[in-house]
Amino acid sequence: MTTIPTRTEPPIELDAFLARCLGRVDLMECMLTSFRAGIHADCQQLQEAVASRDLERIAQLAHKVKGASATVAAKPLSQIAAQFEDVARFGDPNQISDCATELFHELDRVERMIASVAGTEASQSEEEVAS
Amino acid sequence: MTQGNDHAPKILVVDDDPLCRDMLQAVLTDMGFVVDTAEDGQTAYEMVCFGDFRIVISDWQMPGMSGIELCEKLRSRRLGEYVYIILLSALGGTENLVRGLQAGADDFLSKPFDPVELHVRLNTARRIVSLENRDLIVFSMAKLAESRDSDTGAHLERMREYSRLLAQELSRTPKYENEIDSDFIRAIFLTSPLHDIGKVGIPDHILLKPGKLTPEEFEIMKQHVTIGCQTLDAAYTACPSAEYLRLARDIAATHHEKFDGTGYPHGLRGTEIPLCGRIVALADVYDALTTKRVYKDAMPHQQARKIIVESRGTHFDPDIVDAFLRQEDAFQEVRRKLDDDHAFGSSLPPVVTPANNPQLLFPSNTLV
Repeated sequence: MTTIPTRTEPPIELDAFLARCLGRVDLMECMLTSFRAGIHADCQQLQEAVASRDLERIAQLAHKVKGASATVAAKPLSQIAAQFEDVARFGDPNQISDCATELFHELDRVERMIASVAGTEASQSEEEVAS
Repeated sequence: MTQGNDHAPKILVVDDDPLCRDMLQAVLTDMGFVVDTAEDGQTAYEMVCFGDFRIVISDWQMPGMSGIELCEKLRSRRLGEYVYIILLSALGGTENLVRGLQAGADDFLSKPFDPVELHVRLNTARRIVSLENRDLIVFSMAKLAESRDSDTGAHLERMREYSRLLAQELSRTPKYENEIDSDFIRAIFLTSPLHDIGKVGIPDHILLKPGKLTPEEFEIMKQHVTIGCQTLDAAYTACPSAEYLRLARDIAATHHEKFDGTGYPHGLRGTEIPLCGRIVALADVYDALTTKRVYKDAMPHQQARKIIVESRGTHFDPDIVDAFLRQEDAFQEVRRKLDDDHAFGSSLPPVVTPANNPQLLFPSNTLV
């Protein structure tokens, strides 16, 4: 088992993503919610594909994760998914487990960031209501 | 970044990734565009054929029909309007660029998209598609030609609807399903109003003569077919990529031919007459029979139907008469909606002229 490198960069570049949403916070939140729901389903299927060593399916799902995470400016996750796709298509199948571990670890960071964004927005809304 | 959407071309976003699809739709809508989405290439192709999309933004890699295959399929349509295609992909490199261009893509956008870049590229797309404001120009030409004629009211609007109904009905039959596709249907709707454009070359004293034409005058009158054919043929020669001009030329040249070979100008018979000409011939006559003129009342549908059925195999192609009979309710509905008191879709007001000539209004000149 390889050690997962510690990443210091933010899991989502929120400023870049907000700019892509034309500065609309409501659209950004909506897209992050959709992303979270979609990525959950994809990653569940990815786990199943990894368990059954279905390389074609792994490549397809990694490709999906790569695209979706790039859309929400989750760059590290997108890069890991791209490597995972490459390994599934052309690399050493023995690296599949390590790739999966790294991807799920990064996904966890992304999820925590989305939760914190939602929490920040929620508390801001509460403050607005209170004031 | 929002802009008015009065003349914004409709955009179709094609991507199997729902997040990217929704994101593009939201951003483009915010920019003022009218946007629809498709999740695969085949659905997108059908939406383009049956819709009025002028810009397609498609993902490159999709399950089933890829973005490249969608491009190639859209470019293989012979009669369709030009659709501006932007391929969206994370793929880079000259090889992919060349492959996309060969397939017929107009532009490329990298994923994830940058909204400023997207906006700039769409402005280019808008400029390109606005150069081909074909429908308006074609219909304006037809209305201009018609304006010299007698009070034919919404004749062009009705007959293009009738032509479309007949083409649609025929396309559902095994004999014509491979000959008539959605592009043909759209093109006949677009070009059938040009059938009498040659009348611009007929002198007023004949075109507007209130009484019956002498045989010599009628010979001159018949020249409108040749004039129309030559005009549209010159346009087609100048712009051979505009296939719809070929269809317009064939309609102008042959809509007075008769199935039994007794029509003019060439006495073509049966399938020597192009299908578009056979279709428009019936549409034109039905409208002439069922609408009011100064010298006559509108004929009831049943009476016009009887004449058309009696002309099955002589004046008209039997297959087209049969299609008419299957669509007669729809014909009556068009007639009701587009009667001359409630015409719509006319881009130019009708010009009222003092004289009327029955021989001009009845295409065959024998049914009067």
